[in-house]
Amino acid sequence: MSVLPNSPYFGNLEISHIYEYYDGPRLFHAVNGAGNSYIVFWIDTDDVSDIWLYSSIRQERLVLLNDSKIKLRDVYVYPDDLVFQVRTFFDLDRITEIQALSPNTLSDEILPPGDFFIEKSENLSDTFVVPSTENVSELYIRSMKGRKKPSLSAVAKVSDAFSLLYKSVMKQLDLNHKVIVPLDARTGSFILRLNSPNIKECMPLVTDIFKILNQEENPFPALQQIGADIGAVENLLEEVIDGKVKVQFSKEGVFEAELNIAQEKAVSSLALLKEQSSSIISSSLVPQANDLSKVFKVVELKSKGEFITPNSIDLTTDRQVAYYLHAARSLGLLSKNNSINSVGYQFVELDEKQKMNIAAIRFESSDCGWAWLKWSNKSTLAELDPDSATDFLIEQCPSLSKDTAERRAKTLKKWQKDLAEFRFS
Amino acid sequence: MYRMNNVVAEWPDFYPDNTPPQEATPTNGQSFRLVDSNPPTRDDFRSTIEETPHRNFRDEMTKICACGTSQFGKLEDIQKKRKLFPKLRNKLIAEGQLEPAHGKMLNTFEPSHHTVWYRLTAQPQFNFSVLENI
Repeated sequence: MSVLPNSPYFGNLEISHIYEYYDGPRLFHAVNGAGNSYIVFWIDTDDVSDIWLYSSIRQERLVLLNDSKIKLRDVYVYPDDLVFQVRTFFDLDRITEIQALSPNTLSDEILPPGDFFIEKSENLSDTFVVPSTENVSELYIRSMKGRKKPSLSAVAKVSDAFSLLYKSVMKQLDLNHKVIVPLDARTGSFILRLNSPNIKECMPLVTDIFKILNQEENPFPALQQIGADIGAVENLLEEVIDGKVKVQFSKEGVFEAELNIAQEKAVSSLALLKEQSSSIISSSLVPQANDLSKVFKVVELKSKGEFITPNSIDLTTDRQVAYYLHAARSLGLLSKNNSINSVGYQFVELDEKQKMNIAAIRFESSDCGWAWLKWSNKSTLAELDPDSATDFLIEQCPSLSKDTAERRAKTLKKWQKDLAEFRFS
Repeated sequence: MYRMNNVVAEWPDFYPDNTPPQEATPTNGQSFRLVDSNPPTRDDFRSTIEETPHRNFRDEMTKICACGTSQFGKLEDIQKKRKLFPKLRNKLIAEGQLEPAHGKMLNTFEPSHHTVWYRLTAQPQFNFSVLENI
């Protein structure tokens, strides 16, 4: 059966291995005289032709495919190079039609399902199915430049920044009780599988954010219009620039959103965002822990090397503990990874009055406190009107829903009331 | 299109020599086939060569195989094939018992995949029924 293209485009192709057969080879590996490899997948047949998907594949990735380390679909959705739709005619004199496909034109209708893997053996090969579950997404991080792999540090930082962006999108949709959780990663390609709660609701927003960053000269107005958390977007953009990577995010195995922004444009976009967002505050920087004595207790326990449990600070849930750790971080008393820092060690040595004074000063200089002061046109905490907290968050933290802003405002109001009298020089 | 082949059996006249191949055995046992109609029709059991008569074949063996019909011995294998390829995703799965009078069969390419060469007079559709809700 003549299934290979009649065109000089791919060189002299030969079938090297047939993975699936059905009335002829339907999924196979073909190689040309120069050693270039293609994975070929059958899409359709009409009265005069077969239609195929061709994706070129590097040798090392072919090994991963044959060892079931990457999915069959990865070859097309995350290709090493271009993907082609190839129409081979039964009439051997007719020249094959070849059309390059961009990733966003690849749909479920022409792709292998997202749960198929290949298991190659000497004589017979097979595909097998690993069922996927709802809410599974994939974060694909790849280098800006060709085949160079991104560094481990870039992968870690970008994943972290993306997780914060996703969290901010969930908050925006008032879905803030769950977090994105890594499931596993596929070797050699940094495709991280994530359990992403509410992916259906969150995906359109992530797609919009990526589109705006890819296309808009000045992304700030459009991002603000859709209510994106500018701080979370800046954070991701910084890591993308620093790691020199592109990021693709999608529901498992479907091309949906790619942040593919040239280095120069990313730098200028980031500068524009920073300039215009100085009075905007990211929701991730707004504390939600009313009781300052519990915040101090967290720092004290950390200084003794103790593990913080809900019980140890008289709370009931781990989520509440997370809020108090966050509050201690926002005052600079714990470092980013919740470990105690030198400021925290000094802090626990102070008496209560001094602690309140230092907390007042550190709140003023925190991202949230500083934005509140600037928005109110005041210079100290004592001058702030505690009742302005809600309006401040609604106006300056657009990624928070009204309900959440009102809830968070309670913390700001309480902190201002508790700390104001201790704000002496 | 068909002719009387010899005194022993009737094979379609488009079969080349050595078709079915010597190693093929009389059709027998449980088999699954992807079909378009419910109940299945004779057209659902056409060979590759009948389905796409304009197709060319590079060698004799592939042409011999194309004179047959692709069927499977295991339900999970045919389900997987249907799910994998877009062209097959709307097809129905029919299950039936092959009988020696239908023709000859040979395991080809994959463990439960078999090529069936139907005799001119074979009416396999009457032995097959579509599996509902699969």
